[in-house]
Amino acid sequence: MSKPVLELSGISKRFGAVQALSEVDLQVAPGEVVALLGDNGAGKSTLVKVIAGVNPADSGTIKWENHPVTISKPGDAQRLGIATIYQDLALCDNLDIVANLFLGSERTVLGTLDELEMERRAQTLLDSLSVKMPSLRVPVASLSGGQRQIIAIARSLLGDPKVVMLDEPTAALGVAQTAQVLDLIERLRDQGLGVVLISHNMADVRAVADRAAVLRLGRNAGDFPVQETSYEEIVAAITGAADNPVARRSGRVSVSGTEEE
Amino acid sequence: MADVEAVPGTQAALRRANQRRVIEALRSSGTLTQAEIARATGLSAASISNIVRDLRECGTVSVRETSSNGRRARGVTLVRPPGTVIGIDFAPTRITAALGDGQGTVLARESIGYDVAADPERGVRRAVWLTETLLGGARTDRSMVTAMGVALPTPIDVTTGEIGSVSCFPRWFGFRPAEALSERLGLPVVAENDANLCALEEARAGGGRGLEHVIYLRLSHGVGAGIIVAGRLLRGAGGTAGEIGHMGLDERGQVCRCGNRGCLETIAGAPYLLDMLPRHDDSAGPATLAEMVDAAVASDPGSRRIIAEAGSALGRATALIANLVNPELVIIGGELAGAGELLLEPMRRSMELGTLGSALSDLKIVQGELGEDAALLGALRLATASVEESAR
Repeated sequence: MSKPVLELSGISKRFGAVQALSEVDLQVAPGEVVALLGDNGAGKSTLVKVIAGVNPADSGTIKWENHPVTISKPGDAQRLGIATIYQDLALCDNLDIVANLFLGSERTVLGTLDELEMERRAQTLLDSLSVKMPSLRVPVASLSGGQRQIIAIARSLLGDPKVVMLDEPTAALGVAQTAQVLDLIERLRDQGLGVVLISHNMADVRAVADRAAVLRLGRNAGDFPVQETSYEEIVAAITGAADNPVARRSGRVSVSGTEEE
Repeated sequence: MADVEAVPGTQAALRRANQRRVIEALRSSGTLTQAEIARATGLSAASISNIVRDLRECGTVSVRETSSNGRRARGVTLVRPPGTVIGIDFAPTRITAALGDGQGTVLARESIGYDVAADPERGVRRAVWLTETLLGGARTDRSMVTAMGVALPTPIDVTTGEIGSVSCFPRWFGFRPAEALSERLGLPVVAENDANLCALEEARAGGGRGLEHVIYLRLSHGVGAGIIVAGRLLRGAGGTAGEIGHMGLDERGQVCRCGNRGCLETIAGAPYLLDMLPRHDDSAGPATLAEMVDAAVASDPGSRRIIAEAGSALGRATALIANLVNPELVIIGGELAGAGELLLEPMRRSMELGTLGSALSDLKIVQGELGEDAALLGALRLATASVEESAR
């Protein structure tokens, strides 16, 4: 495996009385899909928000391409090259695909929008992802759930990120649409991007992920090469069935009441 | 369960009624978690837990640890007679999976677009995903599935299960798809050439019912045939029987991917046909075989001419086979078959020129009845047959 582009070690995060993350490690290499798995409230979203700079960590170190960095606000993460796509996608339904892709980074010429240039770049971008859209000028509201997810991911790629984090990209999608999103994740990996995939769907994880990092009650509960690990082993790590009962009980006491957000 | 003569209004009667509700819920929905049974029946979680324990003890249901939305859960399934099978059809740009009941009925199916030819490992991985998703959607536990049948547009070695070197999937050469799928799914898997499966299925349940000598031509990306002689599929020594796409027809024709010149496939295979289309302006012409067939049906002269010539070449090739095996029926399937008489009429005409009169007199050429599903249904049937064979 190549050198990790993003390396987190000993990340802890506390919300008042709630210890959401304690001493969590995570590595993402270029061209690798890491699935972040865990029960509800295990700390997956908190960890993603730490990386994205939404909720900076209390302690722990983050290394980017082997240099220590601080990520204290979303802009820091974006400048480094970390793109995050949340479940709500943050698309503007009334705008067309081109306008959504360039939302906030519109190209202008002589003070007016350079629609031609934006449309040309949008087409190149979607072509590089082998994404077919009926037309780039239809409002996003008319697209399917899968197409909207793909547009949201494509938009994040305009900033040339090196790591893309996807929060439940296939939740609430049909089979064919989920397949399209999985195709896109494979293509991101082929282009050498590191992908962090949060998902509850074990089939999706087994279809595209290289590694599965499991969180349980805010701690690392295992790191598995997906291809060589059985479904049952990963589920056992998520649910804690593999734990020693005594250790589990003491663990629960120290982080009792852990809840997401 | 203690078999108490239940007096209405007693505890025992109540328990029996509740049990029946649980079984009804499972019968209509397949595998359910205990929490879902509670929701479906309106009984409390504790009662469900007791009822499931009792039913499990007497062997009515099986229970398996699983997860639901990332939480630990107990999946409860009615124990049914074995016979559920899965069929998968790999086409160059599409994977289709179906769940069948062992009697040839499709219970559920899913299909996705995928560049299957690009990489065998990924293709198999995605097929596993599709299978797991299909089972999840149909609320069927993997333990209920007895076998899987796979259709591939490639020759498959009879003894090793390896894919041959010349096929629609050149990168799959030497790969063993059945072995790879079996390893990942933990199921017995059998793989077979798709044209062979189509031939068997059409002869069993389609246009060739009751006939013993049937040839099926699958015309899509490549050209393949399934040949049934005296009721048995002709496989050949290494499993490449019926690869009629590489029959040499034109010694001055194009060089084929197999290394020979002027093969039938260079005259009737989809990529070659699409290349023949005139591209004189920017207007988007047909980009797939299906679109070309639509254009021909809608009287596009270029598409009509190309399909007619393909039909004529197919006729010459089929004439050779007809002289050789004297079939009763030739069934045309695959996307190109959608052109109907536009393809069949020139095909018949050129067959008349190349076939023995006596062989032609009782030969019919028809479109397949099962359409694009023939390979998938054949894969389901193959899985069922493999279960019956291993039980013997």
